[in-house]
Order: sequence, then structure tokens, then C-alpha cells
Amino acid sequence: MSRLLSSEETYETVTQQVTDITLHPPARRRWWMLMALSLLMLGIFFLSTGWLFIAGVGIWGLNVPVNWGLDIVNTVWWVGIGHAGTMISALLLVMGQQWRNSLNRFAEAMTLFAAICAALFPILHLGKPELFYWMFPYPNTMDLWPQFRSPLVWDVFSFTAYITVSFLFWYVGMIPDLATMRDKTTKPLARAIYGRLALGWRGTAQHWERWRQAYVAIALITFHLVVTVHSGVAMLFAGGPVPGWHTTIFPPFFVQGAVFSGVAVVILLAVVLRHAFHLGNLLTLKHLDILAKLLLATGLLTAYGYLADAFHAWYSGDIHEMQTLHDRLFGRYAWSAWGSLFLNIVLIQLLWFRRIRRSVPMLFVIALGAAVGMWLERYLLIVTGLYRDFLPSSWHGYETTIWEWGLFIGSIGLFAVLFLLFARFLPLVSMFELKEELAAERRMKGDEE
Amino acid sequence: MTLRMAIAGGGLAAFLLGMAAALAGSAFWLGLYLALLVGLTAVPLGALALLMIHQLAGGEWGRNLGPLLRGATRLLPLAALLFVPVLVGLEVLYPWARPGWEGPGGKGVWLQDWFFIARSVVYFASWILTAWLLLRPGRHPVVAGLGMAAYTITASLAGVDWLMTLEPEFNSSVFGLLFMSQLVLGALALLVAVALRSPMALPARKTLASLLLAAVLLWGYLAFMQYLVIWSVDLPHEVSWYLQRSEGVWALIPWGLVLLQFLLPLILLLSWARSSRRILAGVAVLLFAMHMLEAGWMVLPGLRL
Repeated sequence: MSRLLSSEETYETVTQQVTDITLHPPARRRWWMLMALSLLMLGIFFLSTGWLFIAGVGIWGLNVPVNWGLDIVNTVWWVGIGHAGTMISALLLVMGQQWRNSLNRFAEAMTLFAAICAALFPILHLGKPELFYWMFPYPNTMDLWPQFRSPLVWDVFSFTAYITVSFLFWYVGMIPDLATMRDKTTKPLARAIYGRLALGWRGTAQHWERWRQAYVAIALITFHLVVTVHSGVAMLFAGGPVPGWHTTIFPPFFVQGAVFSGVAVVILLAVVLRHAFHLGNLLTLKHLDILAKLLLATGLLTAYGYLADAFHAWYSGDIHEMQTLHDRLFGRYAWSAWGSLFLNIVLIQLLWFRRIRRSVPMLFVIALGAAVGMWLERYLLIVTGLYRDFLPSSWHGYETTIWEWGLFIGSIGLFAVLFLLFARFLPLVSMFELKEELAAERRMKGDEE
Repeated sequence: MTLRMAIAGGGLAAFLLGMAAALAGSAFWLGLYLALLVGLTAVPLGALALLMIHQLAGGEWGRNLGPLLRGATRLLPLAALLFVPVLVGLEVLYPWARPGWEGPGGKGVWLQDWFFIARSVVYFASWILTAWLLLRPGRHPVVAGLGMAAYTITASLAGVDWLMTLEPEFNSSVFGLLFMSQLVLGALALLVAVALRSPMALPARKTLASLLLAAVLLWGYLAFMQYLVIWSVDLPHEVSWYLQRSEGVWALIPWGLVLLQFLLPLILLLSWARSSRRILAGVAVLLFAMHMLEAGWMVLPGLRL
């Protein structure tokens, strides 16, 4: 294992640096400026949902045959982003990879907030969102049950489970750090709140043992959710006889595409946070280098998915499959195909070079490209799978309306507000896990000497 | 030396039997030959993938498995040679190679004798080249990175060519990925079983158990996803693949795979049992046996005799 942190770091400097971000906020003005912008976007969110509740889903550009538009694109995109957070936190914890310790806390927060954004869209799509609980199998006077063979019902379960478990993982992982905040703060109210949240943590050996068991157990559960949740999302498409949707590669292809877009967003957040809070010593260039390699690897798997999908459409010789493939590349929405091919496959090849992996601005641009590219890919898959149906008489295009864009921008605002609140009030980096890492590095150094 | 002679002798005998089946035009015997060949080729081919993964990601497991992986990869030229009877007997096994068959669109282009043979030659040539470059002394991360990218494409297409086109109507885009997971699972199962014959410390054994667990999970996930997607949509040209494989006695094998290539190994590899060298070796042997059975199940029920 190579060293990730500088030998100048001690337990005290790590605690001081991370608690200072919350207790003595360094960049108050910048934070407020970002918060104002995010609140403005959140306002757009409330405006778009408010008008939706009054006027109904007719304000969106959806119509037969394109009944799924930007709302489902956004669902798939947001929930996919969340998966990288879970993977970095849970899978790498179980695999004993130390480099996750600088990233896991904010990656988990990202997962939780992204999953919340994702879950909103299908509910808003319902037309009668207030009746969303009908999707749950509860005993009711109408004697109606959901269709358990439908991936739509599987997704209700998997999203609910995912949000619950992601929250638990994030919160349980934060308990020792919340206790540190309680001990460091001088304000009575803050002490009371952090104290309640820390659940009486005293850091005894017994506490640590029980905590460890709980944390690893939740990690194992969350990891399997990454695979099942997004495979369930893929089944929404692959599980229907629609050309361009029904293909067996979709579940694994969706899962790794999700991790790809999520790693991109982790990179974006890491770059912004290390700049805003001067965290360059904890979120080092080595961390960014590893993330960049992960982005390249998952991007290459995305390319494999495109190839397999296109090859088997061509190989099938089915006229509808061929037509959908042709429409995707040269049809009305070809911009989404070429955009995603360029951003998800061509641009990331730069990451083969170490110089680019360690250049923060380049990495930021490439990661932003991947996040946008994956959004375009979701748009491509959904809209071009629908707009030219089996029956030419029902062919109809899809025009995204301003209300759909408003909701999309608004969901970014919701995410940003939640994330800024988290960055302001909760420990942004896992202090105790970094200290464990420091201890391990010291032991190794001791062994060498 | 004796192992080498046994492999050479067995290879020669297999080659002659395969040629005999191909020339006699017996679909059953040549099909059995293909199933055994694909099942066993998984060992060098899966070993090549594991070797590249280890060069890229590292890990302690290379210390115990490394020599075996290298040794297994050296069998690739033999596997290539043993494919000759299959290529000679193309029209015995593959309906599309018989006179009068015409496929729609891409199938008509893809499924031609000379093109199929040329592709198989290219696959083996690329794997042998990659193996040769990797087996030189030292670390070769660039070869491993580029090799892995090429391998995912060639190995996927090889799976599609050799197994999926036995029934030209069938088409599944995850087939290549599923085939690769079978290669890795088969290779890992046999090599772990061999590695455990020599004494090994507990942590090293646990690492091997985790690797097997990962391979079992990957295979189980991909196999189930292919089934679920096809079951959901229920199209005749897709479900027939599964229906043919669940007629009569064949129906036992999918259940056998669920129980013995997934559930039982999963439970044993997750529990205390994996600390026992004997149980771990038993799981590895069981997995390899199931892997061979699965190869037979994928080939034989689909043959048009």
C-alpha cells in the first residue's frame, strides 16, 4: 500500500481541519452565494411542481407514443449517480481499500440526496401524486394489489429500500464524528444537537465493536442494493417488447453506466470541495488519480455496452431493431447519440495519460462531460426507443416543455441545497477513518524502520 | 514432464476423436466434443483474463495463483489446435452452415463458413499474442490494459460464435458477458482446487474463497438477468432457448445450477466453512464439475440432429 496522506498530518491536525469547516466556517460569503443560487433553483422546482399539481401532467410534452420523457430520464440519471457513492463507500470498505476514507462521507451524502431527487420524478409523473401510496401492497377496501410481476412495483420497493439503507449507512458511519463535533463545539445549542445525534457515543471499546459490526453489516446490504436497484431500473426498459429497449445486456450495462456517471459526479464534488475548503492535503492528487482511473475503466465498460447493444441489434436482422438503431444514430434525436458517444467514450480516452489524470481543471471538464454524456444517453435510450413505434400511424415526436426543464433544473437545486447544508453543518470528511488510516501508515512506517 | 506428456497424449487422442466425429457427421458426438472443449478451454482463457486483471489491480492472490495462471495460459495453442475438428465439421453442428440456409440482415453476413473460421483464427491469434506478451518476465500493465479491452470483445464474440449461433434464431446481447463470467468461474474453480493441494495459510485461503465468491456472484447475476429479461417479454425465438433446455432430463440441470453452482457455494463461501481447507477445495471441485455440466447443457439440447 502506498501512502496517500502526507507524513505531516497528525490526529490533531485532521480533527482541527475538519471540525473548523463547520465550527468556524472559512468561506461564509462563497457559501451564501452558492446557497442563494441553489435556493433560486429550488424555487424553480417548487414553481414547476406547483403548476404541475394545478394543471396536471398535460403541461409536459408527453403524448402517445412517447409517454416517458425528461422525468424518467432524470430518475434514471439521478439514481445512477447515487450508485457510485454506495460503491465507493460500501464495496471499498468491505474490500479494505484505504483510499476511500477521504471520499466516503460526502460520496454517501451525494448518494442519499441523489436518490431523493430520483424518487421524486416517478411520483410527480403519476398524475395523482397524492395517491402514490397505492403502489404499496397494503390491505385496502378495494381489494386491489399491485402487479407483482411488473418492474414498476419492484422499483417502488428497491427505491424505498435504497433511500432507507443509504440514510442508515451515512448516519451510522457519521456517529463517531458527530461525537467529536459535540466535544469540540462551544455553543450550547450546537452541543445539544450534535450530542443527541451522536446517540451518547463515548468511544469505549464496546461501542467501537458494536459500531463496526453494524457498519459492515449495512455496507453489505447497501452494496447488493446498487446492483439490484439499477437492474430493476433497467428492467423497466428491457422487460417490455419495445425495440431498442428489450435487450438482455441492459441490467449490467445500466449498473456500470450508473457507477460511471456517479464517479464523474464524485470527481466534480471532490474538486469543488477541495478548492472551497482547502482540503488538498486530505483529498490529494493521488485520490483524484484513482478516481480518474475508475472513471476510465467504467467508461470503457460503457463503450462495451454500446457495442454489444448495436452489434446484437444488427445481428438480429429484425427490421424494427435495425430501424431503432438507425433512428438513434441519424434520426431526429441524433444529437443525443453523438453527444453521448463523444462525451462518454471519446473524451475519457484522455485519462490514459497520467498528466491529465493529475490536472485538476482537465479532470473537472472530463468528469462534467461524463455526467452530461450519461444524461444524454438516458435521453437517447428512452425517447428514441419510443417515438417511432411498431405502427407508423402512431409515430410522433417529443418536444420537451419549459416545465420539464424547470423540474430538472429544480432537482439540481434541491440536490445543491441539501448538499450545501450538509457541507455547512455536518463533518464533511470522515475524521476517525482518516485517523485510522494515519495509524495504519504509522505502523507500516514503524515496520519498515 | 509426465503432466506434459499426459496433456500431449490426451490432446492428440481428443483431436483424433473429434476429427472422427466431424468426418462421420455425428452431431451428437461432435456436440459433446464441442461442449467438453469449450468447458476446458475456459481454463486457459479464463486464466488469461485473471492474469490481466492481476497485472492491472494487483493483490496478494497473485502469489498463490500466479504460477498456475501462467501455466494454464500456456495451453492456449493446444486449445486452438483442438478447435480444428469443430471448424472441419461446421455443418454438422451449425444449422446456418448447411446448404440452403439464409438469414435475415446481419445474420446472413455474420454466419458464413469462411468468416466464422477466420474469426476463430483471429480470436486465438489475439489471445496467444496477448499471453505471449504477458508471460515475458516483469510487469506489463499497458499490455494488460489494452489486452483486457481487446479480450472483452474477442471473448464475447467467441462465446456468441461457438455457442449462441448453434441456434441461429436466438439472440441475446448479454451472452458474451455471460460467457466471459463462465470462463473466469471455470478457470478459477479448477485452479483454486489445484492450488489448495499445497499447504497455504488461512488468510491466503480466505482471499481465494472471496475470489470464488465474486466469480459465483457475477455468473449468478448475469445468468439470472438474461433469464429474467427473456422470461418477462416471452418472445418465441428467445424463450425457445430455455424451453429446449428444460425438456425431459435436461430440466434437472438448470435447477442443479441454481443449487450447486450458486446457492450452496454462496452459503459455504460466506460462512465459517470457508476456513476449512477441505470444504473450500470441495466447493472448487463442485464448481468446476458444474461448469462442465453447464457447458454440456448449453450445447447439447440445442443441437439439430
